[in-house]
This record gives sequence, structure tokens and C-alpha cells, in this order.
Amino acid sequence: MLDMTEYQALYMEELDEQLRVMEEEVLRLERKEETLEGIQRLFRAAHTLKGSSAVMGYERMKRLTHNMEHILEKVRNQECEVTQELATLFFRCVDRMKQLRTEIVARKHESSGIDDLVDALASGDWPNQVNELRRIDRGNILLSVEEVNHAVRHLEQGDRAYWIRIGLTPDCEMRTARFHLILAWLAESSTNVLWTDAIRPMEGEDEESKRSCRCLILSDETSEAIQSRALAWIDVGEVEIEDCGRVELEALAQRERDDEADLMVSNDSESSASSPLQDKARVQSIRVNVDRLEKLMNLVGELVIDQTRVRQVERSLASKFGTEDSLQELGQITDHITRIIGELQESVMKVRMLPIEQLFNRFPRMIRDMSQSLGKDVELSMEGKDTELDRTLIEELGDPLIHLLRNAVDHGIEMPETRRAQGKPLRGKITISASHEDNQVLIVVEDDGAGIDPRKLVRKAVSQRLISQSEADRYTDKEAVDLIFHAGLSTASQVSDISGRGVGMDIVRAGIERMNGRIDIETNAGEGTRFKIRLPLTLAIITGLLVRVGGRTFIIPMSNVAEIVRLSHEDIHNIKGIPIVTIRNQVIPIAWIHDIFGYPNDTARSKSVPVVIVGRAEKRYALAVDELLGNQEIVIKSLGAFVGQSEGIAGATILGDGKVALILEIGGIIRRMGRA
Amino acid sequence: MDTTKHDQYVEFSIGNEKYAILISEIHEIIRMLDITEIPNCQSYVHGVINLRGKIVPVIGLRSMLMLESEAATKSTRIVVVNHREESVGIIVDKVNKVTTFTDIQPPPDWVGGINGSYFSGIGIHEDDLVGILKMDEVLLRE
Repeated sequence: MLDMTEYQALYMEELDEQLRVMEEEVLRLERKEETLEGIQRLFRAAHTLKGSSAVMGYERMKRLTHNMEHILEKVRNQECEVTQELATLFFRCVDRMKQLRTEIVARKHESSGIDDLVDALASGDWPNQVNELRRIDRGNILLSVEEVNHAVRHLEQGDRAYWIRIGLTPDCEMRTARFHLILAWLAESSTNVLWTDAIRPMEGEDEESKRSCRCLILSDETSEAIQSRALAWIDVGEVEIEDCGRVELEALAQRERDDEADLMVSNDSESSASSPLQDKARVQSIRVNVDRLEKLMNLVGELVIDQTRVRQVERSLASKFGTEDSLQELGQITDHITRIIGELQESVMKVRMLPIEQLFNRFPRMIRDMSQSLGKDVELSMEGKDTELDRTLIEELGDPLIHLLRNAVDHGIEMPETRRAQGKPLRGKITISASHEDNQVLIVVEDDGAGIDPRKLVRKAVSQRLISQSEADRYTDKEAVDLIFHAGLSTASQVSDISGRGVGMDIVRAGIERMNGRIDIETNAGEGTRFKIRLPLTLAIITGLLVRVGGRTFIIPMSNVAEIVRLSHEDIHNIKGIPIVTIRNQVIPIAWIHDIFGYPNDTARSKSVPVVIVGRAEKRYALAVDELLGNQEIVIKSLGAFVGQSEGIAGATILGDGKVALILEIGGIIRRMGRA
Repeated sequence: MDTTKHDQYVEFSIGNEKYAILISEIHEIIRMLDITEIPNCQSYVHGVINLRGKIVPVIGLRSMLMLESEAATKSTRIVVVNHREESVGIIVDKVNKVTTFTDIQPPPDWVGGINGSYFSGIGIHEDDLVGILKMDEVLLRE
């Protein structure tokens, strides 16, 4: 008996990948943006899964993909057109396959039935439809690749392609001359005549067929307009006109390519489908287990720690033995090691980077399903899909982004009627983009919907007793909008399936802050909302500011630090019992980390206090410490599941002296400040 | 059960009481290290230590078993056990010996005010009675 567990893992990986491909392409089908290449991709995905499912013995998966493949082959060969129903059916198939996937993971066998889908796929309804509709014979027509590319460009600009069959009246004489004239008219009234058989040797044809000709044209007019005009031409007895879709058009050149491929390769259609480029890419990349990468990263982390320790030892030796020759040599070696470790760290980090596409690809389907169920028309556009960031970040980013997108569809984008009334385009637009900015990743989620009314938020917060009326009166618009991050506040007047339960934005912010990131919001009532998320490139190694508090060393992530100042006690004032300081005309609440953690605080005895100003969105907070110890690269280590999450602590690291120091999580510290 | 008689246990003391853990559950036993405390954590979590580059949480068995806590002495040890694919250190007053038991009795519902489910049995060795800790149960307590 073969050990299948290894294969199982590979199979699951492949399944996930192919399901993603399928979803992507079916979505395109539904939007009527199908391309022949897309259908090929879909076909190949179904084909691949059919094969591997058969090997693994997943009978249902195999049957389902087999039936999908069957229809896709027909689509590919132009025997069947992709209708809305077919696209929906494909979606149901993909969903069922996901279901089967979950069952395989959980129970090692498939339990959902697939007969309904197989029946629906197999019921001969779709395949024959197209050919019945097609009355114009498409036989023997070939276009060059250039011609097709040219035509596709026109289609993308909004032109349409039509098949036209023109029949002359029986009493028409000089048919060839007439056809010439007709061609000239067509050339005038259409964008382009792609192909015609009007001028042809007609020997051996019967009287009936000699009277008709076929054309393939590009035009920006409707088929009715062309038809009625053509019927008005002299001697034209009948005009038939049919749409030619993009896939069909592309297939005209495809046949040519296939013929060539058939000549070169044996009749193996699968191998002709993969381009040399793909082959090359396959050779140059390998799949690596994530665990191995983690291990590598951990080892580099250890190196970074040891390197700081070596430096520390070197310094203490230098203070003892001063000018010893070998000590200088040691210095050079440690310099070199430091540099190499730095590079190693960077390389390993790069290996862990993935394009954000992996995450973005999940969104189109989600937006589609949501907007359909809400009766809204929403278009999602995604930019910067190839922006790379650490894979752990990609995983953690999923939930917050999904939440923001859901909010955008549910609360942001208005119903079509409302949009019409406001003179906005009916189709709402949501944009999600990713880019690198300085040493950070910037992710923007933007919609052109209703925006957030700050006054409404304030009223809501007051009515839910989250803030008092007097507080509310003092709120600026900016502060009011920030209320959206307040736990327990929901703006939806009705709780829907999708959002409005009042858990939400505060969790989004907590999630982003856990990643040492920041989220900012810009909104204009009536115009839309924009969320900007800034994240560090990696979670594993950060620069930290070491501070001393109550005899203990803590680390504040540098990304949170806005500035560092030294204040005397006179600078600290009290307003209603809340200690504050004024820095550059900004009033900032101040707290002693000692008090937050309940350590003895004797800062009152020293002359001045070092204060770290940390930023959270637009707000600033001041944290007083005993001593600043400088900054250094630190490796973030988790406290482990046993200790669990401790509010205000992001993790721990090992310092140069071998001691463990805790890393502060500023979001949590500020929450505790609010309660203290 | 015959097999249990050959199982080896590490026996340690907390105050005057003797406890034991199955040797296969123990990763290593180390001397007291610098413990970095974690603010606002459950009281039995003393903090974390650096175990050769790994961050390992350390708990006090005294506070787990609701005994008075005591300052560390020369004989204080940290017993590192594996718990759900993580290492957890347990502070004990003193590690006595590796031992086997001639007989193991099922635990009573309560052992001196402690929930009996923390014990897999009471080991009997000559005249000694030793509570055999079921570490998974002890550590899982919320």
C-alpha cells in the first residue's frame, strides 16, 4: 500500500490552485469578458483536476470535473456558447468542489452529492443551442493571428463583429459586379471588413448558392441598423446577420495555429496549449514547504540575536583590553559578519514574500456574490496585484480587508436608484490597490459610495451612550469620523446578513495594529470613503526602541514612534485629572508605562522625564519611561499559545545579554491608558 | 496493569508534598533562569525565559496547586515539559529522583483540596505516596 499522505498534500495544493483559476475564469465568463485563452485555462484546470482526482480516488470530484471539461471542450470548439445560466452553473460546480474539498480535509472522503450538477451539465440543453441559432455557415474560414488581434482591439473599444449573409434577388444579373458594389458599401458603412467570400470562383455551385455571399465585419452599429440599410441596397433580396463573439473570433485564428501545431507535434492538444514561456518558468522555480521557510527564518533570527551578543562582548572586551591587536581583528570580523547576516536576512525575507495577488484573487467572487444578494451593481478594480509582502502578513491581512470590502459594498455603495437620483454612474466602483511606499506597504480600499457623515456618527455614538453630548459637541469632523473605529458602534440602521452588528471596524483596526500597521480613513459625505493601510514589509524582524521602565527593559516598535522628547515636570499639566503635555501646540495625553503595568514609579525624583510620543492614526499619545536605551534590530517571537494574548504586549525578543524583553503593542497600551 | 509498573517517573517536591511526572513527558530539567514577567497575566504564569533562543513560558506549580508561593532557593528547578507542541517550564522546589512505582491507585475525586482530574493516579513506592500529575489537565486549566 502506497503512503498517500504526501500525495494528499500535493493534491490539496493543486486543488486550491485550480479552484482559484476556475473561479477567476468563471467570473470572467459571467461578465461576458471571456477570451479563448481563458476558456483554455478553465478547460485545463478541469482537466488537471480530473486527472489528479482520479489518481487520488475522489470519484465525485472526478465526475464533476469530467462533465465540466466536456462542456468546456464544446465551448472551446465553438459548439456551445457561454450563457448566463451556464456561468451560474459553473459557479455552482466550483462551490460544490469547494464543499467536497472541505469534506476531504475534514473527513477524508467526499460526502456531498453531485448528481444534480452532473445532470444539469449533461442535459443536452446548452450544447446544441448555438448551432441551431447559427444559420450562417461558418465553414472553412481562417484569419491570420494579426487580423484577429486587430479585430479584438476593436472589440475592446466597443465595436462589435457580425456575420452577414447577403442573398441577391433571383432576377439580379451581373452578380459578381453587384457583389463588388455591396462590398464597397459595406466598407463604407462598417469599420472593417474582416473576411468575405463575395469574390470567389463560383464554378460548380448551384444557382441558389451563387446568389449569396458571406462577410465578417466590424462595426459600431447595431445589427438591426446594418440589416435595414443592407436591405435597401439594389438587388438585395435577403440579409441575415448574426453576432460574432470574441471567443469565436479568436477561434478563427486558433484553428490556424492548431493546424500548425498538429503538423509539428503529434496530435497531443494539451502539450500545444502550454507555451515555451510557461515551461521555462517551471524550471526556474520550485515549491518549498512553508515549514522549511519558517525554520530558515528562525535560524536567521537566532543569528541576528547572536550577532548583537557578539557585539556586546566585543565592546566589553574593548573597554578592558583597549588596544590589543587581535581585538581590532575581532572588530573587523564582527563587522563583516554583521554585513553578511544583514544580507542573509534580507534574502530570506525576500523568499518569504508573495505577491498580494494571492489575497486579492479572493475578492472578485465575494464582491459579486454580495452585490447580487444586495441588489447593487458594483465593479471591483484591483491595482498593484504584484506588490510583494511577507506571507504571514498576507494571511493576517485577509480578514481586515474582507471586512473593509464588505462594508464598502454594504454601507458605501448606494442602491442603483439612489445613485441615479444623485447623478452618479449606476455602477458603483470599489478600488483596492497595493503599492510600496518607503519601507512600507500601502494598501488603499476606496469606494465612490455614500461616504460617512461625521455628524450622523456622533449622533449615533451619543444615542448608544458611547460618548457624552458635551464630548460630542467638541468633536471635530476628523475625530468624529474616527469614531467608526470605536468598539460597539454600527452605522447601519438595519442589521443585515453582511454587516451592521457593531463588531467590525474596531476589530479591523486591532488586526492592523497587531501587524504593527496603521489604518487611516478619509471620507466625504456623498463622494465616497478611502481607507489607507500602512504595513511593515515583514513581521519577523523589526527595528525597536529599547526603553527602561521600573528596572525592566521593554521594546517599542520604531514604526509606532513619532518622536522622542525630554520633558521636565513643569511641562506636565492636569486637565480634569488627566495628565497632559503640550508639544508643538498639540495637546497630548501622557501616561507612565509603570502605572499601566503596575510597577513602582519613582520618576518624580529625577529632574526630567524621557517621553516617547507614539502615534495612532491621527492621535498622539505620550509614554513616559525611566531611560532610553537606543534602538536595534529585533526578532519578534511569540509568547506562545499557552500564555496567549496579553493586552499591550505584542511578543518578546531576546536581547544581546540573553535576557528576554517584551515588545509593547501600542494599540493595547493606549486602550489600557484609556481605562487607567 | 503490568506495564505501568515499569514506567519511569521524575519525582519532585513542593514543600513537603511529593509529585511525579511521567519521564516521557519531560523535555529537560534546568536550573532557575532569569524570568521576564508578563504584566497582567494569569497569576500562575511567572513569565518567560530564554531557553537557548526559544521563548518558553514558566508557571509556578505552587500557584497552580493553590499552595503558598515561596522565593526560589538553590534547589529550585524548572521542569520543561511538552504541551501541545510547545514547551512549558514548571517551577518546582526540588527534583528528587527518577523512580518507578510498585503500584498505582486511581486518584480520588479530590486530593487535598485539588481537583482529582489533575492526577492520573497515586503512585505507591514502599511507604511513599506520590501524586502523579497529568500535565495536560493541569496546564489546560483556564
